[in-house]
Amino acid sequence: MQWALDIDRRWIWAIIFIIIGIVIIHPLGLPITISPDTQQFYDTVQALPDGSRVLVGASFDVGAQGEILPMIRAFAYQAFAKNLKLYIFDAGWTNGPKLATQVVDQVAKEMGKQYGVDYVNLGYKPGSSTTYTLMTQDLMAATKGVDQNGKSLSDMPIMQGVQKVDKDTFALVFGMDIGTPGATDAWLPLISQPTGIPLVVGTITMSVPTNKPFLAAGQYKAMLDGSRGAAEYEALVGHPGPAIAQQDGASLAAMYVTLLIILANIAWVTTRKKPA
Amino acid sequence: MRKEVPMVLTVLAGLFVIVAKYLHAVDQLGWFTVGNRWFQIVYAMFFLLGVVSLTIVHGKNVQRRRSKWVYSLILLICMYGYGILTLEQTVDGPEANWIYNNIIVPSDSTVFALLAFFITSAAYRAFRIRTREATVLMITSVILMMGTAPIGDTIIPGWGTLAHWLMDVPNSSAMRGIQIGAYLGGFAVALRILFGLERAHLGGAS
Repeated sequence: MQWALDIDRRWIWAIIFIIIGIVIIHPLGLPITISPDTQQFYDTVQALPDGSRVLVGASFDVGAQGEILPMIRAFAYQAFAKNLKLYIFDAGWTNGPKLATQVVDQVAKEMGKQYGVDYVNLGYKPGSSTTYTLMTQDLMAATKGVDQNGKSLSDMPIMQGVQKVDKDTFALVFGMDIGTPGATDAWLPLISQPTGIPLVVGTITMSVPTNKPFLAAGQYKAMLDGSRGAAEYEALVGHPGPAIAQQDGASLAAMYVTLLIILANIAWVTTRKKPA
Repeated sequence: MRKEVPMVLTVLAGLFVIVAKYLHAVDQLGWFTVGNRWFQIVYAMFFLLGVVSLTIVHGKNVQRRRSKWVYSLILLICMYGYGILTLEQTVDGPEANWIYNNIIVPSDSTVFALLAFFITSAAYRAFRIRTREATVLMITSVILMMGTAPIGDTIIPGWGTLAHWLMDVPNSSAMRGIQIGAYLGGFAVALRILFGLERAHLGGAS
């Protein structure tokens, strides 16, 4: 079994590349069960009154888009079906609002929604924690009164009656968490808790352990757990998309890594030298 | 003076925030909001500082033809080229968007996707049942890995529930303890900075 310990890692990489490639071309269509966390997320959004305002905290970057964008896409379908107004914003991740808006644009086009009326990209605005706090005091000051592309916000119908982020104006915050700043150190302590606006969170699989205690304590109303959560959410809103497509790859990759671990341990146990 | 002045400024800024935020009477004056606006402007200046710093470092590399100076030149062309383009077109301009969607996004995604390969080979080499703790770690990771993908429930119904329980109960308990410890530590460091006891951020030893 020494061969198993000495195996060139490029073979390991080649096999996982082939496995994922095959399931992308020929999906297996494994059934996806809905977890209580995702059901809670869906129900929380569904319970909002029609036409409510939702602040979408796009705290993520390109590296996490594979897991986060399907969540935003599915959320946009559910939100626009309820005529919710979406305000996309972030003060920590420069790419997040742009990436999120590109996905929302596609859904909006499909559902006949208009930029500036049904959703707006408030953009990335520098300042991190200070800017998040400033949102709760004076939204125009925090955003400098312009959207991502420098268009005046005061001319947009969606901004009528919006002075700041508070409980009277916003019904929900949908914050992402892939690192710092994220839900744990921005959307929860700086927006949700001071204003009392309920917070739901979308996070990458890697950040689920960090975020779970906040969900268990009830500080998050609901949470989508990584790409699996996004896939379940896509199934719930009835718009299957990239997250569901990822699940077959994730399944086979998990199985492959498990088999590798078993093989490595068998090889290690059978070849190790017993102490004299 | 190089250390004393920044230290005094730090203490004054810290006290300003505490007084403006936590004393209700002062909070009514709106100082906190004004302070936040100032900070936002100062924060934006950091970007300029970054651009100046990169220009000096990589400009010298190019000027003196140091090893791999071509990469420095590419960096400067990209930084200033894309910056000028977005200033002219906004970030959603046609060329700016094309570069963003066809170069920046795929490049960044590719680097992140490489993790899948490294994690696979790392798992193969690292997860060994050398000790009892390592065995528990290995079993837990296999349960979670299979349980968070649909294949777990397909092979053994209920596998996903077990994975969820591991995340909700043992993980949440341990993580809560770690987070409380970290936040208390952060609070202690903030107090030390405020009292001028912690000076590592000013450079040199604390």
